[in-house]
Amino acid sequence: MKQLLLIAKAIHGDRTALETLVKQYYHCIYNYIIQRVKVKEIAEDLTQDVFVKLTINITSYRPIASFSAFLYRIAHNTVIDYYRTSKITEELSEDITVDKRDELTYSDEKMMVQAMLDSLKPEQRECILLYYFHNLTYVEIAQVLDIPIPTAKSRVRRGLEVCRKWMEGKE
Amino acid sequence: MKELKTLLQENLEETVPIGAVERCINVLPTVKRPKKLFSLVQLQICSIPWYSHGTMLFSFGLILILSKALDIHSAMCLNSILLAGVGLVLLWHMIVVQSNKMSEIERCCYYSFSEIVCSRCVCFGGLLILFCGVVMLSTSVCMDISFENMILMLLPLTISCAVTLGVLLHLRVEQELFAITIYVLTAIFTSINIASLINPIMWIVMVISISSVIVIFLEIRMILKRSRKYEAYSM
Repeated sequence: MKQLLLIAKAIHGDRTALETLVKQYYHCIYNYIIQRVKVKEIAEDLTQDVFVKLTINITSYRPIASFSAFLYRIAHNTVIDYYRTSKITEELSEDITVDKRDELTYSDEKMMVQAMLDSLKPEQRECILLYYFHNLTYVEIAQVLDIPIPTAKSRVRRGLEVCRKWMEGKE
Repeated sequence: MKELKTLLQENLEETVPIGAVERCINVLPTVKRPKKLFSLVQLQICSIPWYSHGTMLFSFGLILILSKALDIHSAMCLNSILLAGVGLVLLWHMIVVQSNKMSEIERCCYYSFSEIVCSRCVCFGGLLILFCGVVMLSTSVCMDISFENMILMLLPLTISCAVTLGVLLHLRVEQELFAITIYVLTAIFTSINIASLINPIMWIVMVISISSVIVIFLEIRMILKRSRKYEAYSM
């Protein structure tokens, strides 16, 4: 209810409410984007783009869908636009940015988790991250990725199976 | 798979660069609010219930029949009651919106409360004016009726509206039945009394009509002003 009121205030041009929303969601969106683009600077720029787009389109938000889904959908589209304009694929980008990834401090466990995620198909990885890392529901995942709810469920389930097999193989 | 959740959250969590949120806030444009009143009025028109249309059509038919069948005194008396009845059907929506049950719901929706009230006034007021216009035109064709008598026929409607809105505003009554009773009693009382005023002096009729319309406008303005106070957030 408090969240809805905040959104309503932002829609009616309340700058403070908008800033509160940005502060609340910046961390989640930044993490979502960095998991997709892997480079800090690009992630920061894209997160900024997401919130600019949110400000422009906030009046089209209807409370029938969750606000998180609305925001993650903007983030998802922004990342797609980024890859489209830079003319590189997400997989190719991962190879290119390996060196840059080294800037981030990676522990053994981090490397292992990253390797496990790399073993997943991109669509499975995205669903797994949205479900287990960003705590979105199946309905919200379906709204973000514009897919049917059963597809979201099966992607999470299959991704989970791949992760389990990968873990068993490691052990 | 609780372990996977913890594993992901412990290892993939990236801290936001220092000052990134502030940099983001600085580049945000201002929110442009769309012009909503028209779309709200459209919404109100779509949500007019079937019984309102039914009542209007039924009353219109009955007014035409009565105008032809009865003598001018009885026809005017009954027609004015029918017009007031249509007014009550439409005013019902304004009465309901003033009650707490409705305003509670509307206060927490996408549109602001005062905008909803304003669109409702425009929609139902417009519809009522249109209906009265059609009735006046058709009765002038059916009956040999003077202009002042036509205005006189509208008096129960305007006076009842003014009195009911006044009661709602000043006594802060939030019981729909009480408001309806006031409306019906005023309408009947005025209708009975206008029968004795047939062929009145023009300026008296005009003064009463214009003043009751002005009172309605002032009351609606007060309702809008008050509904702004009800809003949970200021615009």
